[in-house]
Amino acid sequence: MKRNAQISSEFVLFIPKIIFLVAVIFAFVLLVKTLLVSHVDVRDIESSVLLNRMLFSPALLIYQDPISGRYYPGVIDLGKFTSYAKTNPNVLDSELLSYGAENPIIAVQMILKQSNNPDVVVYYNKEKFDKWEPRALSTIKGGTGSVKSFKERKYVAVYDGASFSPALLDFYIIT
Amino acid sequence: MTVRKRGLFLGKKAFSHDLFFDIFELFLVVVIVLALANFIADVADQTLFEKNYLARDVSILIDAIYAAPGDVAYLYDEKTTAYQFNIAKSKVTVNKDKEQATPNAIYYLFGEEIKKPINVLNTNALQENQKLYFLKDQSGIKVSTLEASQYKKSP
Repeated sequence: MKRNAQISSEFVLFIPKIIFLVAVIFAFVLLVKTLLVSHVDVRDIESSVLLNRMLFSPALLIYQDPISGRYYPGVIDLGKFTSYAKTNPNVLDSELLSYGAENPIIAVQMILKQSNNPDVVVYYNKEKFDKWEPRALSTIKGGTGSVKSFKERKYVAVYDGASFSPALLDFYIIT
Repeated sequence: MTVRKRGLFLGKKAFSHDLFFDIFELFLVVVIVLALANFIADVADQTLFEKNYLARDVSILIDAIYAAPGDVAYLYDEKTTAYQFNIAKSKVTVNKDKEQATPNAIYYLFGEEIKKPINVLNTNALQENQKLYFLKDQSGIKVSTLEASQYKKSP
């Protein structure tokens, strides 16, 4: 047998060994990784914190008295809320609160419901909300899985510049 | 056709071919054993879970501090010794001390106020007696480290 032919035939015999070796390594790593807990799911608490942040943080939706400068946690400033709804839908992400450039973490829809007034809808991270919303529906095949959704209703007070009135604020958070 | 016997001392050509494959096989085994040993050492060290936990916990803590309507002073009383926290641009990155390579770092995002970005003073690898300290006032959030002698004074 010629030298080159001998080398190639030996190399061909070597291939099954390498394949077997790779399979064993994969099996080993997979076994260790299945026994290893490294993922910490914080989506529930993260949604809850963001919801409360919307209601209590001075920088977001709550009313501030212009004379005393005092903030009213839990009281929605109707003027602010309506302006967020009417202007750029990304105003909350681009001017107030940032989870990084892409924000792969969380998206929120907030609907303010008042008696005798039409509903006002404000989004946080609208681009991702529109993208993730269908995946949060359990009726869609292959829908739920990578995203998780939370719905919560809060009873709030609304200040419209003249008086306080009761209202409902519905949160639909997808994370 | 004559079949040549294979062996270490039978024929120069066979010797060189076999030796080449044997050396290659040994080299492969050494590389794989070293890689697996490194992987097992990392697993045994359990820093992956700790880094994941710390990155998420600190991110949510910052979110909660931002959510507070008033001033906040908070001492992060967790086991953070030898971890390095890099808090910037809506991201908390946790490294083990001396672990400069970024692939080993774990990060998590938090919601940073654009008008009041977080101000990190010094969070190099934390020593045995140091803790992360968060202070929020009208100007925003400041993150620094406190020595045990400083934080044990407070009630």
